[in-house]
Amino acid sequence: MRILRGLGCTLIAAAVWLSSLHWFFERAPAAVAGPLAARQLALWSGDPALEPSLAQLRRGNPEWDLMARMFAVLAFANIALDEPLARARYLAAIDRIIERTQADVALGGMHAFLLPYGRARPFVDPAGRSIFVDGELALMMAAREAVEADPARAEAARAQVQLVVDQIERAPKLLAESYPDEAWLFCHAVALAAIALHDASANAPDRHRMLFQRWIAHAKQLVVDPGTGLLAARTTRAGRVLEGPEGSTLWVAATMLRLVDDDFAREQYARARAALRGSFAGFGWAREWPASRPGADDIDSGPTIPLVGANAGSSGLALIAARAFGDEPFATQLIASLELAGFPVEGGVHFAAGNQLADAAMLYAVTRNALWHRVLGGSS
Amino acid sequence: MTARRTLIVIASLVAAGFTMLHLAGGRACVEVLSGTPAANHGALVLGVLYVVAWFGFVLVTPIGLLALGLDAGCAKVISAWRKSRAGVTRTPR
Repeated sequence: MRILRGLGCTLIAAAVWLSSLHWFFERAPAAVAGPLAARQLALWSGDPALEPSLAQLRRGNPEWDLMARMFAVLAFANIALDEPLARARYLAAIDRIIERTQADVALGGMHAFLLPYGRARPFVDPAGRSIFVDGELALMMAAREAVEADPARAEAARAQVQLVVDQIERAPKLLAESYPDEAWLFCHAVALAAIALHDASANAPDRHRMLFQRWIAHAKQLVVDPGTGLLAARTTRAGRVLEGPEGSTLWVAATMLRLVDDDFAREQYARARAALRGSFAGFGWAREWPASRPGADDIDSGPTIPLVGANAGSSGLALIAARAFGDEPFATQLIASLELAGFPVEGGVHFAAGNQLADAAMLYAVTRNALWHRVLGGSS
Repeated sequence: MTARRTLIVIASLVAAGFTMLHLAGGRACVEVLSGTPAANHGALVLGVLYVVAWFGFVLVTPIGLLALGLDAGCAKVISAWRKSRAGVTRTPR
């Protein structure tokens, strides 16, 4: 009898505690953004901690270095649009990031931000460029122009965007290479968003409308997985799928594609949410792969927690998409999980479970997406 | 040792272990959760232990303490009910 009573009390205690635990970890996006923004801005404003932080990223994966810069620029651009008094400081940091990235590309070429296997064979496209590197740089430059046009930088931004347009147009199925004969959909979504954002800033929103329509048509025909209806992560330049749908691609791709084809982007988000979302007791997470298309952990996915399938990378990027699509219930759950399992330190200036890329991506996620609002207007 | 005392000891040990790992700087070593390479093997071990202790501290300790409180409350209610029932049966009509 006493054992049964103890067991019953434990079950009731577990139910009470687990159902209320999320209240201790839920925070408003703005409260998460403040300390993160202060730290990211300091890093890109001369803090000596920047170099060791970037070196740590590069030890893990040189791609993370570039992605951290891109998410920082997008976050800074959002803040600069929302906080006119702070605009000059954030613009200065954006310019520093862009100039540093341009210098790194000038010095090391595309391989400055590619994994070593990128050197194993030549690019199929004789230009030998990576849509990953050019696209992310183009998005940074387009974001800068969208916040405040600078005549001294306008031509460079236009040329960078044109570089990306040309790469996509040269590919027979509009699938340019991120790595030799590998087209990553994450990179295409970023590159297309760069083009759309630049067009919007130039008051020519329809300049590449036909390219967008052709790209979406090709993607639906070749890249969308027939079983799940989700975009695959990686194809060859000819459009043969090499890797199926992945959370770490889908959440960002859907967010970026809002600027290209909002209906298609919304459909991808809804499908990704249905296939990848997990939640329990007020906490949310995302799987890296749909249950029907399981995959193995790799350098892009990071580790996955068994049984529930929670993946840190996919969950973090899901927050970007949840916020971009106004899915506040999921965003609230993801922030609660971030505060519980992301291990914020020093008042939330950094998430110890991640790195500078994670901090920059989370900052982008919790800022109001003023850049996208500017392009999408009322529909956002 | 009674079950109650065992629960108290477990909850205290988890809390003490977590505090020690926290003071040892374990919170700064959990980057492995995102696939970021740890600075060295020691940091990796410290980080993994910290994660285990954190979830123990956040999940196991409070549930254990709540269960203890509930169990103690139940015991009191049952004891009072038994006493009152015994009193009722002994009361002459």
